[in-house]
Amino acid sequence: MNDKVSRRQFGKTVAASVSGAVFATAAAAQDEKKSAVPTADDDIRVRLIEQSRGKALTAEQRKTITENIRNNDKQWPEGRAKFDVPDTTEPDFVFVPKRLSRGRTTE
Amino acid sequence: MIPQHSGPAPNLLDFTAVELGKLIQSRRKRDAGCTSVQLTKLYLSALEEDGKRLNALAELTRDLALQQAEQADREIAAGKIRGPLHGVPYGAKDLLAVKGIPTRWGSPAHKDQVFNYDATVIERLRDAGAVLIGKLAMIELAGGGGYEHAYASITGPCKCPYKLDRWAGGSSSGSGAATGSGAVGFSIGTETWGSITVPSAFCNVSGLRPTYGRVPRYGAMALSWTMDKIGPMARSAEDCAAILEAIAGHDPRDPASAPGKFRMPRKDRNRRFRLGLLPIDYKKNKAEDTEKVFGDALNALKKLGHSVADVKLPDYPYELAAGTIIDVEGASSFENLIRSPRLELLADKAQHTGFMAGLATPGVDYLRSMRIRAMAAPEAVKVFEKVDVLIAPTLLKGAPPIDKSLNDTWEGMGGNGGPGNLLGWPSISIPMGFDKEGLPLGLEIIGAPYEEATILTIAMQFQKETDWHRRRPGAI
Repeated sequence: MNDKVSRRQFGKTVAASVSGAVFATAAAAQDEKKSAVPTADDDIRVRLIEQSRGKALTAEQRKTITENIRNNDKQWPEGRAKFDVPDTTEPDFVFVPKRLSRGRTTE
Repeated sequence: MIPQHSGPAPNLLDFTAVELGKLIQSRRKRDAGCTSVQLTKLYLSALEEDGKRLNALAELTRDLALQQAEQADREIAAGKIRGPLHGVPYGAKDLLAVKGIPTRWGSPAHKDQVFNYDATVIERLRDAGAVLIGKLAMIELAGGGGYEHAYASITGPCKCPYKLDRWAGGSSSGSGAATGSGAVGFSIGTETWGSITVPSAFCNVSGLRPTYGRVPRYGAMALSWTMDKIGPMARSAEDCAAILEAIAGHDPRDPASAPGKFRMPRKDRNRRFRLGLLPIDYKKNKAEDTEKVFGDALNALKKLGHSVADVKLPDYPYELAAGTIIDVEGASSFENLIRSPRLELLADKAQHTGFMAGLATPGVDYLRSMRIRAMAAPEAVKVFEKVDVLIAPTLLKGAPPIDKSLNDTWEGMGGNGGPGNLLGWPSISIPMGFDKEGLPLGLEIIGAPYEEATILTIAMQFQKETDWHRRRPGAI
């Protein structure tokens, strides 16, 4: 299923039980008691979303989006600490410039 | 033979696609079998009735189907056989463009969408002589915003044919329910993370997620450009092989599609393989029932002569990286919708906020995920030097209740989708038995990139020795 249902649950449970990549459980426990009231930082990002959509969010939407953003925020610091990505590692995609189709080239 | 079932005698709606193809083609030689038109009419009626009852149907394509079936009959009568799928009725997930037919992506925000071209997969199946009888229901926009409810679809919650108060799974919900209930000969689904394997497991279907790039995606809705895959969902692994042969191969209109056709080897069908067992904590997930069923399946595989070893994948944040990539690519893919009031037409509120939150994911986190993928791919694939395939239960439990939040019912469900989907590995989910409630359970076989033939061979061997894939639900 896509997909987010599974991947969010994967983050919490499956990662621990199946693949051995345990990082989300601890992070989730850490922040369990935090309130869902948006912080100033969250608010900036939520406001940017509001601005880009040109429409105010409802209180419920604001709360859920804040939770979503926070979930992402709390997972990455641990991921970064545990898995170092060397500066020389390139992402796995390449941009290939397109040649002129009419053969105007010096090669 | 391992467990036998005592269900009713099979009828034409229980046949596998390859069997249906043989039946149609046998008509040519003698006064037996049936025509494609006869079969198509039967399946159209099953899809119209059962498909609607299950909320598995997005759009019936009756006129197109009858036209294609008539053409198939004419060609077969003239001795022109296009292949094993010639004349066989099928359904396609409603994110594949079909010229002139609504393609709604399961989304109320796209209810009037019609394309004027066919997706590559639709073209290729037409060239193989298959008959398109309908577009099948799906979770809206493949659930890219993070859905919480089975009703996250323009067609409503799709029901599991084995128990109507259970969910068929997603996002290829209709493909799973219609194939499992015998309302189509086979179907096409797509997977970004679990969307083929999950409904296949819940609906007792054989579902193949091909290697990333194996099947061109031209004309398919994009959720994640670097993770979307298209694959067959059918009533046997043999069907999956035949369908993959028809749809795989490069198409310049999808730059990510891989060169080379897929051909299932006709020899070496009895080869023995090394199976790698992924570690799973059944007790912690309260899945002892599934542990037993999986144990029986494992014994069946051992009886076939395969060896088994414990394996573990190298420790990378597969799930986190995959989740971030889907969040960002999904937010980009649907950016116009997300920034418009039409977003709120989506049925599940969690999709609205999930998609919006995707806009706020930092670019560096996305690129970090892509770099982690680049690091993990060459390391993780080394597991296939020790074993030929990885095996595990597809999920640790049967289909969850249809009317409850998936956030609650998904607890302890397990799954193996993170690494395989992030790294583009192929996988097949095949029926392996039932839980105490009579709900189907799936066995997942994961292979190295482009090794579909290996996982299909093992799945076909398993289905020669067991009949779980032959079991069908009772009356719907």
